Amino acid sequence: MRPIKGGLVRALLVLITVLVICALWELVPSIGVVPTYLFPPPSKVGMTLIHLIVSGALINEYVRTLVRVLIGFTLGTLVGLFVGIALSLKDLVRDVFYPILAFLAVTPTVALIPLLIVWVGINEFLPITAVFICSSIPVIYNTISGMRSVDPEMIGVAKTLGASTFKVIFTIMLPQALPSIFSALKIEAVMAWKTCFVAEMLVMSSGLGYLMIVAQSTLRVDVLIAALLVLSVSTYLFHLLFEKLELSVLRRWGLRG
Amino acid sequence: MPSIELRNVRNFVLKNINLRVSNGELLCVLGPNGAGKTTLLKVIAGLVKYEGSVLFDDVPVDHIPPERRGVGYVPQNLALFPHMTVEENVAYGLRARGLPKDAIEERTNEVLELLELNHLRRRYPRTLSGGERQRVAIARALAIKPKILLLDEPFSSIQSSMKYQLISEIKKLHSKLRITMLFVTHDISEAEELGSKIAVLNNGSLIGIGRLRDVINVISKVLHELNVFRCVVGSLGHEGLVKVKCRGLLLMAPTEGPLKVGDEVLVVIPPNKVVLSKEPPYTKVNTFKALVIKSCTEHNEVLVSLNGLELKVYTPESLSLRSGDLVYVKLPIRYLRIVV
Repeated sequence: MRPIKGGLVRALLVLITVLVICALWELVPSIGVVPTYLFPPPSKVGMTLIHLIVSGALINEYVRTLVRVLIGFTLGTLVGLFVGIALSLKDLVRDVFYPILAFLAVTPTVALIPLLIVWVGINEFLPITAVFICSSIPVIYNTISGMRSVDPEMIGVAKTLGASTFKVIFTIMLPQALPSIFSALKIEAVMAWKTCFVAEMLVMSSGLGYLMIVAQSTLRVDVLIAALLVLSVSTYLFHLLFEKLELSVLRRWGLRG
Repeated sequence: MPSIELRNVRNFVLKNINLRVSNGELLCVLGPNGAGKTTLLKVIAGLVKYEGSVLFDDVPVDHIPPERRGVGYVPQNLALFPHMTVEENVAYGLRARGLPKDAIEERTNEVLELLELNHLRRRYPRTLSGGERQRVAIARALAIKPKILLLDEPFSSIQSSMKYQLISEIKKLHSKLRITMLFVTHDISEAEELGSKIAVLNNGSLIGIGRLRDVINVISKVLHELNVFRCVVGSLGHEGLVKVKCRGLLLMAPTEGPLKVGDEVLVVIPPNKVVLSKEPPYTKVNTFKALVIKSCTEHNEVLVSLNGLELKVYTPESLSLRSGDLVYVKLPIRYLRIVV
């Protein structure tokens, strides 16, 4: 019972802290320290959020962003896995591409957006391509590095037991590369939202990023904060989803207790 | 079970190895670290490139990939698949070979029973003890009914007390299955315990093959694990016993060869056969007082000094010794070997 009790106490403390912060936030604009239009209180942000949801404006832009993130991220992950596995088939190919991928993996994808504007154009494919690149390269890199770290003795034993190269990859190497692949997925789950958001802010005429740019130009700080909250919650939930998925898969495979 | 023959096998480690292992024979491959023992096993399993020829039952297998050689391989680190349970590890080879489900289940149960692993079938390797992990690795290799079983220092990470029990299990398994088996070790006591023919490797070359007494001379030159004393024959006793003088110590040792008083000999004893005690033992033969120079509790190893002769001893866990302690050392006659 003690851990549950401890957890409840902690949750209660977090809730109290949030409430205190909100109360202070509510108080500061109401006593005239800062103007309300620059620092709207949480009650105003809440009302704006409800209004945006009810009017459909937020849902419309949110769905656009969500679809772009999901398409780019899913394709990026699948292609990343496929290329990562394919490059791991031959040691020489893998060793040639590995340093190149290490270099690409640390290149910030948002910095590629100006280049993508030239190559892809300003259309629906731009944020999807940016998210795709942002997701695929780290997955390729981490798939290779995870598969490369598998004990060669294990591969040798699997072969003597009668496993083909294909079987060795899918039953021995890939499962053991999962922790490495998941760590890429968890980081990229957050990066995908950020990249899509930046692309929308820079050039798109729809999506959460666009909504915020419009709100900023009309000095609607309440809309800005409401959209920011939605973005943060979505990013956090996406990250959490992969964290839970990782835990469940690694437990299922006996790689974590 | 097939015979194995290596003809002029060489690669980046091995130098022109010629070796023959008969049908159902258990051969111990002994040598220091870096001698090429593991590479020799990998050549037989087809896991490394080599020149020359490997033959099973006089048929060359050089172009047969490892998955079709029918060899069971247990590497030094055991290489159990961490994401599979004991049962899945054991069944892996059968699944990889595409056997029907019923046959897989039947054979897996058979092997789990043979190695007494039934109660551990749902456990993951990380939850097993060293001895259990070792048995799982052997079970996994045996499940595919290999023609040859290759064991690469399988007991290197196991406590010495457990080691001898497992060696006796290996011997039992060998006599039960009559499988052609190669057992690699750098520990002479393991080789002696196995009691099989020994092939001695050093620097990639095969430098001796035969029973322990035939190759002890070669072994003592390449293995520093062994306690070896330079002695002189003092007097010849009855029933094949001689008294030898080693730096002021008078030792009684057995001999099979003709010796004369004054002959220089080597007296050899493995570290696990020396008996240490804090109390004086019953018999006084070959018993001396010694000083503990170094004690490694982790591996139950002790280094003692006998009149300046340094002696490595594996002690039981219960005997906790520290540097500077005085102990009684007994060198049992039956475990002493004289090398002329």
